[in-house]
Amino acid sequence: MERLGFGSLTIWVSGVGEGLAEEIETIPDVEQVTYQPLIFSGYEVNGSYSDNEGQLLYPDGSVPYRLTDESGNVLPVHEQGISEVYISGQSASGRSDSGDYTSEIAQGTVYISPAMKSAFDVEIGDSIQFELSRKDGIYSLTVAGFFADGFMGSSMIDMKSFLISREDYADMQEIIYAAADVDALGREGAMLHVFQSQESPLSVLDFHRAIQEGTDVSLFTEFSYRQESVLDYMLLLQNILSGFLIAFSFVLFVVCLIVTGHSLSAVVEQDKKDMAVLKTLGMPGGEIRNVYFLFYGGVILAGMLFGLCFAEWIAGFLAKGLVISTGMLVSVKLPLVLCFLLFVALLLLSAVFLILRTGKILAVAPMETIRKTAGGRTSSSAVRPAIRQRFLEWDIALRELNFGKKNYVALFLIAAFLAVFLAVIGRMGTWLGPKGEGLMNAFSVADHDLGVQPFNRDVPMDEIERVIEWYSPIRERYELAMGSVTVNEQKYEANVLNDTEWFHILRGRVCDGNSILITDTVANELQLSIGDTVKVAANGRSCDYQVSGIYQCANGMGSNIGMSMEGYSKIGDITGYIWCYHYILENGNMRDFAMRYLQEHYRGIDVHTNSWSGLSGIVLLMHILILVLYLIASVFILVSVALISGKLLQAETGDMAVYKSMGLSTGRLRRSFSLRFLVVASAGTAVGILLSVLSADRMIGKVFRSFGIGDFHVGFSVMGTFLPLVVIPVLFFLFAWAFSVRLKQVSIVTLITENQD
Amino acid sequence: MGSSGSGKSTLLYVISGMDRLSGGQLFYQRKQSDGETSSDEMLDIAHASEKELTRLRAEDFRFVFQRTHLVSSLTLEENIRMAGLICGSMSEKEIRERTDALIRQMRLEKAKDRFPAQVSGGEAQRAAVARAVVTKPRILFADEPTGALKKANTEEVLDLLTALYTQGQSILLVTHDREAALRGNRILYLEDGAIVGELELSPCACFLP
Repeated sequence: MERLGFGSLTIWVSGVGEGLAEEIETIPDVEQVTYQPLIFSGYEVNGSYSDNEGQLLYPDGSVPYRLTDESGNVLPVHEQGISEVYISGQSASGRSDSGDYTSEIAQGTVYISPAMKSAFDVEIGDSIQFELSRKDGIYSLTVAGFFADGFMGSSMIDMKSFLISREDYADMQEIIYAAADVDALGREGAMLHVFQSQESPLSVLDFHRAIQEGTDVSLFTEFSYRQESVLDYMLLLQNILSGFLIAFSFVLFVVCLIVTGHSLSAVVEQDKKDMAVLKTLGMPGGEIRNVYFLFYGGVILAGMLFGLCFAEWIAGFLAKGLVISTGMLVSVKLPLVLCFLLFVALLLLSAVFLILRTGKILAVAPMETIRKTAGGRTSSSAVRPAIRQRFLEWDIALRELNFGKKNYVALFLIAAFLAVFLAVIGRMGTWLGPKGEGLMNAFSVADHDLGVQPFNRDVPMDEIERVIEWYSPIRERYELAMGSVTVNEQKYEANVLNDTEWFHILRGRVCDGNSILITDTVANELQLSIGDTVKVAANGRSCDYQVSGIYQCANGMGSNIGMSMEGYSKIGDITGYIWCYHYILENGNMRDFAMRYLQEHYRGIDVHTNSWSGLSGIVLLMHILILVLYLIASVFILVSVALISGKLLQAETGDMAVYKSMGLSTGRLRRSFSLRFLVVASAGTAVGILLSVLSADRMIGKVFRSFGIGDFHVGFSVMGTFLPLVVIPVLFFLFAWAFSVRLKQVSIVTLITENQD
Repeated sequence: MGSSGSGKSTLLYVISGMDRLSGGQLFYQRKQSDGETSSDEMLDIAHASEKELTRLRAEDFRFVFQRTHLVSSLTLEENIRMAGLICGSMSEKEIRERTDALIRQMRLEKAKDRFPAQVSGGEAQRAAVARAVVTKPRILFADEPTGALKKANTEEVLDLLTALYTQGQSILLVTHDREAALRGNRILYLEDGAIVGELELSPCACFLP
């Protein structure tokens, strides 16, 4: 954000020049205001009209934009028509110490956010048409590459920024100037990056208020965002994804410890006799333990170093994969200090674990061990599942499970851990929905298929509704208006509905003329609860309202309130063209067709659906994430089964040979062996799923609440319940079946060989 | 019978199909039955597939080893019954009746519900013998079945094998113990892999307990 020049507060204004920046600078708490001119314009890409306007910028040298190719690789200067521009304080190559550089863009080309790739399927070479004027005002530019746009590049933001050449910018200005007011579609504007002085005692909210009260900026403001809000938007997806990767890493670390513990105990069991012999020769238990500690410690260290070699590559791969949704090409340079500390911490944890697990080597009693080695496996189990002819393989599997319960605890835990995690990610995928319905509902004030907002009285709403009806009968309609208000002197967006039943109520009741709804975010920020009275003000008028309930709307990270038309009329003007008509269609699938027709044939209206262009990217990202996590989980199941089955087969070679000598075929033995894994993994997975059912919604809901999404609830779902319940046990079974191929090598001759001792 | 290294165990493994012949042929005449009719089939054990050998082990051949080799996760009673369950030629009821009879015959009533690691060597070996005959195999192969037993247990197991033999069970027993060998009716002496002597005896009823 610092690189892109964002201040403590960034205000998007239209129609004014640098004078406003100078006016803001007169406020005592303001340290500096930078002015970044831009053009607001609607645009069409590959036959799709954007719901929102784009903002066109040209690199004037003040901001070092980072241009990338389709794969997310930073473009070298002079490629793709870019020519270098010198920025004071930077090297002649244009590259600063931090690796940033700016460049001048060739005329006729445009650089876009990578998030548009998923939203509009844009590729380099495609053209984008910007609508600047009704009369010959379509300006076409060719996509030459992408640029990292931390704020508007995210799929969470519908408005997108475009980097164009200085010449094209000037041409566009000419078109806008030449157009009559009524014909102008594009308009000039600016981003005012306001920096708060370090000495200022004001909170960001008070600082914002001071600027609004002390200047005329509110007259020209399109919208404004505090740095925290921008960060919230920028980091929403990054944080969710990073959080999941960190949690998954933790799960995998636990799985690694379980598997290592299992492997260690198997090796110790196998070598117990040798240890006993060494002890009889006078070797201390501590020295024997050191051998195992150093061996396993060395392997863990080597594994970690090996993993570290790939860390940067994997981070780069992830960063490139995520950029289509986040809009940011995250630096893949590993933070050395953090990595070192993490490395040491993991090593220490592993060392402590090894010390604990190798403790039993000290307890090996020489003669007792040598005597025991000659005997068979024992069990103290009192319960014995029956052995029946009809279910022989199944019964043998159950008997072995019952006989060697503790051998399967690790398997159970691994399955449970992975199930919890895969169920959680699956529940998130379910909540998100195939088209992103979860996010749609979370970020929209109220459900709708189509929204139409007329901007003047010439818009024939009756005719528009007839057009919509032609595509699909309208089932429900209501009206929504949005306005800026202050609640107890804090600025929020008010969502006003003429039919308050449409609000997504989480707790309490819907609002009326004397009450309002607040989000969890507002409740936390203002320390409010249901029943409290607040002062809501707008346009110089204020009124006291009671908080009637908590509702969900994640717009502005949840910084908004809900009001009824009657309630808002006490402080705001409800007669202007502020109302957006929301429609719920009988056939919601027709909404995109209706929207496109209305966009193409009517002027003076804004038509939108409940979705936004970046949503498809987020859905795609979620699907990729689920796939990646399942792949990683599969690898861990493979490794776990390899080690655990190896240990079991080693311990049971004798029994297996006996079964074979009795005429049980290798195939039946393998099936029986694999069934044990299926049973244990099923039990572990079921427990994991149960845990996720009991706690996942609350856990995810808590995380989501910090992003303004107050409600997270998923019932039974294929992805969150059924898929892990099937996939995990089946993978355990299949891998066990594959590894049990070793049973083919188990020969009855083993029994004979023992005879010949 | 023969001294150590004479090749007697190797001959037993080859005949029973546990080990492969390096040359030559070995035929076994087995009865084929489809439930209504039965016929004889000559099986070349030396070149039989693993599937055929598995079937042979399940239905016709049974083994008693020097060490008991019971399945450690099954009780003695279950070990005996398991052989019948795997064979599949008897109903569960028949297997249970036969198992109970053998448990009585082998005097394993007290030990039948214990796991192999919880019983004496003699009890385990008696259970191993019972397991071997529960399906009434055509041939019982016994490789030094008393080699790991104490004197008292040795006599006990030999008495059981003799009783089975007198009841019509074919037993091919390998031993270096002269007393054990004399329980049979045909004794072959092996030395350096060759038969160097043979002794035919009358039925050994006198040895019955």
